[in-house]
Amino acid sequence: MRTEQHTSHVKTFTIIFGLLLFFTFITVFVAKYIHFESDLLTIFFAMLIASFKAVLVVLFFMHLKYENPITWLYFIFPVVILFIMLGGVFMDNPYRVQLGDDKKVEHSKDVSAH
Amino acid sequence: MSHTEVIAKAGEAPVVHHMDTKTAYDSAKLGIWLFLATELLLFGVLFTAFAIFRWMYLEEFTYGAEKLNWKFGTLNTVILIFSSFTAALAVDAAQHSQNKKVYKYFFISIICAFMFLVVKYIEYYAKFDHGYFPFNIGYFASAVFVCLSFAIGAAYFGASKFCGYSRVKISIVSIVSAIVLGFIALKIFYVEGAHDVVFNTQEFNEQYKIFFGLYYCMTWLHALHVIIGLGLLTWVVLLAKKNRFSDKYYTPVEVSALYWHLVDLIWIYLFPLLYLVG
Repeated sequence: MRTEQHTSHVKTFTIIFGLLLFFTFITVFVAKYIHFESDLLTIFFAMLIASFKAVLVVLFFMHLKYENPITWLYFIFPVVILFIMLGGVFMDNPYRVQLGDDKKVEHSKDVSAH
Repeated sequence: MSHTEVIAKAGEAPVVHHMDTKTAYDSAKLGIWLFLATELLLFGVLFTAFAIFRWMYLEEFTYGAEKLNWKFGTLNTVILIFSSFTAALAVDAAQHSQNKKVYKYFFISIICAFMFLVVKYIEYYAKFDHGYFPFNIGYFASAVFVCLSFAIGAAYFGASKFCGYSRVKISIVSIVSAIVLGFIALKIFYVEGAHDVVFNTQEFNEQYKIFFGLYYCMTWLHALHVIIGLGLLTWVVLLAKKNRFSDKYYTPVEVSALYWHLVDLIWIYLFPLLYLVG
């Protein structure tokens, strides 16, 4: 059916597997034993490593590296949509007052004082 | 249906009469990638909800994440990554017509999937034991009642096929009984305050509920995907045992491996989000 010769990827897969394990332990280690000053920094770091692992899985385990452009399009399209959705949330969140926040009470006091 | 009839021979691609085998392979692959895209968006919405609620209830999320056992989470991550690795090896073996290796590697993946579910069960059990339910137990109980009565209704529906009762009548009876049973369950369990004393403490309701709601929603949906993947892998293993695959035909191996990698992919994000940063 397919004319090209299938090359063996066993070695690549083993390396990728090792890398995935390594980054998993890095994530756990950083989250449990290294305390960043900022909470957001911890999340950012964890998500960065997770994204790197995800890219490894998609490119090599899922063979996306060897796929045709239309398959790339199928994968990139939902990712772009996700980024738009999450980006909207992250742009909106900082301008919201947290529930149970004292600022809210102070604000209402200010308003009633006027 | 004769023109879409599929003739299967060991090692050969099934003959689909309205397209050649190359087209059949390419469209199968495009189909699974499109499906994976929808799956990404399905979980993406949950991740977005997580981001919004975490911002709103930061303390609750921090408390909640502390209640999860990150060692179980790490164990499950390693299990899933390993099973994903063997699934990738199985595809490689199928491309070289090694059915025995496909069998072996997917079998390891299946065992890993079972291990994942066992760890998940232990985790859920511990959470339930501490009273960390995702919702008021009253709602849960009424949902169970409704499901049960629908199951009874479905059984009656099946029986009607052989006993000759009117199907419409039986459907109406089962739906009405479902609603009535659900209301009764709500009335029994949702007595004001009673559910707090028995199952959910007031403290839990105030502090952790939003976190555990999302935790159960995401992990349960993920576990459902593991169970579906388990079914797919079992199907491929059975085919591999019949020497069904070769370098000319390995579409089922590749498609189910792709699905299995997606399950791994989602867990890669779920694990740090729920267990580590919370």
